[in-house]
Amino acid sequence: MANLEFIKSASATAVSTLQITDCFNANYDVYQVVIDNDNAGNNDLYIRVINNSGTVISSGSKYDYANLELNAYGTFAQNNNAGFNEFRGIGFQALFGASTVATFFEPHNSSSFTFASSQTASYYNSGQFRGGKSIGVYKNADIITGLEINAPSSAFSYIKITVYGVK
Amino acid sequence: MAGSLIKVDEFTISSAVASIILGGGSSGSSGANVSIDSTYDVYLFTTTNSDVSVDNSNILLRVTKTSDNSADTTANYDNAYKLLSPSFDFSNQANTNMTSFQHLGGSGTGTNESGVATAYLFNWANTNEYSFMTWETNIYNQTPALFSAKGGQVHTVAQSNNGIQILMNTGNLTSGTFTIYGLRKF
Repeated sequence: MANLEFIKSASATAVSTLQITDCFNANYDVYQVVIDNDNAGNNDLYIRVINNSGTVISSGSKYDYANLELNAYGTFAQNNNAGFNEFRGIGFQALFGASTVATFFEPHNSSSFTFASSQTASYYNSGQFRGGKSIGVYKNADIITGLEINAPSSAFSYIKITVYGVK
Repeated sequence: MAGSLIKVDEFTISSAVASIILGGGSSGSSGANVSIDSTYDVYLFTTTNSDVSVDNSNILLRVTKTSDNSADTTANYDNAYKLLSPSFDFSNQANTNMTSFQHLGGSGTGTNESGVATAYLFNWANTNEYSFMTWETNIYNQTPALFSAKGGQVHTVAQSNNGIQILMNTGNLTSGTFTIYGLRKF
């Protein structure tokens, strides 16, 4: 019996936003979300959840997040905020690629907040490596069925999102 | 086709309880009578939807010994981790010679206060090695809201362990699903 089950993937080129819809459902409590991207900019990914009405939640100050940046060519840095309108730093964008494995907990549970935890490896301009360890919570107990990934600076030359359920 | 992440044991809290055991042979709470053993080298331990009866109490972990299926209560648990939060500066944390692993410290009883976690367990059943875990938590407690531990823990006794005890420092677990998976080795 397989307990890590592929659910869905989505990919695109030359876009600033990519949605993956209907990837969370009642069959799983825990999900692994893999995000790969290339982008000329150097920034955090902005991630918003999509509810079961198809609405991207981009207002209401419902996102808290904290991200530890592990910089090979600089000091480690913290980036944290409460009451924002997206997760920042659950994944980076970077010129030579950024790869993130994020765990989402109970997005489809209407009686629980949605939690996220992630690790990222990226390589950005001037040959500089950046790792990331991040957490977040979406503070509304509703049914979340998908994600929207946004590039705050420049477009993605390539992005792919893959979602697995842990059963 | 068989997958590579194999569920070994799972227990969901249905009534308040001070502690449970995953794996642990005949001491296991699920009644499945299963153990962490050499079938897999690495195990994944997940926690979802945890809740407690006493505000700001701590959910803890201990290994259970293969020799007698009981929790090891000796002071041989160490850890080091980064504490992250949206609400305060990150900090380094470290402890030695505790009588348990930490897990979800500062659990609350308010509405929507809950915890989740993942940990990878290494050398659990290896008689000749210490038992290690990498460990990441995510807990929402309204004051100071969200915080997380990301780091590692070790049980500094070279013995074979066959399960994991989930326990409270005070009060009871009132909610939560706790699962262990084996990572298939080829």
